[in-house]
Amino acid sequence: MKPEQDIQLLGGLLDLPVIDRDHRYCGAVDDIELEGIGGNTRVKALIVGPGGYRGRLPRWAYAIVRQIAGNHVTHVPWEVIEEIGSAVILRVTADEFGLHRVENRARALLPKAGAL
Amino acid sequence: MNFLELTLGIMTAVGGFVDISELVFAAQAGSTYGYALIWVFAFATVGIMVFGEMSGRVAAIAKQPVFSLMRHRLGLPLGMVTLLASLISNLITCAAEVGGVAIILHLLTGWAYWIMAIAAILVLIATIWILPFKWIERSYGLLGLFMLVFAVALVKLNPPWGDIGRGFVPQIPPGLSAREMTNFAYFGVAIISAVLFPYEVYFYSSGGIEEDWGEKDLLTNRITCIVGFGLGSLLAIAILSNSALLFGPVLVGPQLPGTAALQPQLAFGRTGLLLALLGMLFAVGGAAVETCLANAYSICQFFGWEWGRHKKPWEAPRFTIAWIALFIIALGIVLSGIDVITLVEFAVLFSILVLPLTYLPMLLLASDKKYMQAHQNGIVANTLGWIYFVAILLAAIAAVPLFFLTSGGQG
Amino acid sequence: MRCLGIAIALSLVSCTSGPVSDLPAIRDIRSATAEWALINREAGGGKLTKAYVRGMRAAARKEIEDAAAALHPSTSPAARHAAALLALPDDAPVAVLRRHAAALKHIEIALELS
Repeated sequence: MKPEQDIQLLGGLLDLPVIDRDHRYCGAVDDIELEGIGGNTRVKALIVGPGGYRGRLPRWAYAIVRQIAGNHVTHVPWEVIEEIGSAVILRVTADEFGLHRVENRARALLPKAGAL
Repeated sequence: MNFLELTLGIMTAVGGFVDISELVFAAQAGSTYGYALIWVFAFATVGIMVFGEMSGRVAAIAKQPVFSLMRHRLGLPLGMVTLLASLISNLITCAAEVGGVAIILHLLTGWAYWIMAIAAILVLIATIWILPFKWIERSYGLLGLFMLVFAVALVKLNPPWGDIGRGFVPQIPPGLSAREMTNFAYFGVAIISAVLFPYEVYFYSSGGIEEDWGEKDLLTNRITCIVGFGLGSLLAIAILSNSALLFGPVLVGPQLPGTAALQPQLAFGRTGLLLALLGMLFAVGGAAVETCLANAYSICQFFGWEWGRHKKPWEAPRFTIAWIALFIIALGIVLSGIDVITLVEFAVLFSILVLPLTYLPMLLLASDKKYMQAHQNGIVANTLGWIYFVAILLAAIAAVPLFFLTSGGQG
Repeated sequence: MRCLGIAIALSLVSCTSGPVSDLPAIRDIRSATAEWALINREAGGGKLTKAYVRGMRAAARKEIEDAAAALHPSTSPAARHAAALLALPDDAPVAVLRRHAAALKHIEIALELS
């Protein structure tokens, strides 16, 4: 479905994987930022990152997640979403929002040789 | 569709059905109860065919593997519980498989077990690093076919085919004491758990994405599940039947993982022994690869990280680091000295507790028109899916008390 | 190690004590002995590789040792069989091993009926 249509936040958006324009995974919809009130409520941005678990997990569980993975979040504006189906497809690359920071750091640890 | 396209199913099935737990388990079931547990294997096999087909169809149509959509369906807290439980179950199983590979290498070469464990890990890491996904599944899938020597041995030994055939009929052997009946029930529950190990469907559905399955591959998916899992089941039943014929009468349990290799040896001599050990090596090695990759898939799919061996290792770095780290942890568990069979017993127990959380979202996803379009579950798939889900739920409820009452099937 | 762990769990959960709780360990010893006998029978005919025979005999002996450690009391008939088995050489006669396995099977049956 397209982002301009009405959407079910829990059943149709939350916890879906996020994929960028180059078909690379760049996280999951860990939380949703809303704006407006009442009938004018709309989704402002997707929240991607372990900080998005706050309020969704029991306190003790979030404390463990925070110790391991930190509490950073990235706000992905609603306007850059191309399509929503079994994943959220962006019309931009992950790097435009720094969504591949950790992946890039991990890449530096690995040799780039030997694979067919 | 050519034969090589079936190799994903064959690898999944041979690695799922004849891993280290089945090599001892199926043999113990045969030597203790004769052919009376064959029907449980057959029943569980239909279940894994049903769920395997669903997971492959979800991958082909929704273009997402089961674990990605599982978090979406269950929500974060319950999804995280499922992730943790399946990580623990798969990690223990992976350690058991690595230990099993080390035992088999030790029996082939005579070199020390701990050296073979380290060598096994290095070879497993090297094969996954060097080979793309298609060649990983083809090598372990095709080399695992050495296991066919167990089926050929059964034919050579001229078993009572009538008794084997009657074993497919649901039954409880007459005249069992209360303790034996409880033990029989434990074996039934454990067989269901071992055949329906969650890592099989995680690996299979992720493999479907690795192979870029689409709508055109739905028939391949169906045939792969039927042929692949059917073959795996036949091998497990052959091991059970050989055991009933050869081990039961001479009081062999068996307790030692290497004893299963005596089944083809008794039919074909030293050649049979070597073929059996090679088959076991690649089947158990394939299972080690499956369990490790299944865990790496689960972690990456849950958190939305890049994953897959259709990419070069450095193109999915967190996925690569995950599977290497998991192998190293498994090696640590093996080198700590924990007995491989103990690991297997706890893996089977953990797995059955995770099964309802694994298969319920899959059933709901495969029935969801939003993701499956025209390919949602039909009446047959839905009916069978729910029947098996209820069976799994009942088995999960019974598993823990049965485990403790029977000391893990030892009576 | 495995039998010790399971025996502890069983006695904690079911409050069983005494010989019946030795059943898992006795089964292990009986099976390992029977497997040892089978290995020796086939090894005698030159039908196994040396590495396999060595590895399996060592595994059988270790299994008997670990299971025997879980038996209580350590002077029970099953424990005496285990001690006798561990005193045998690796290439012990098949008939001797089978006699021990059969005797352990009788002990198992007696415990199951008790």
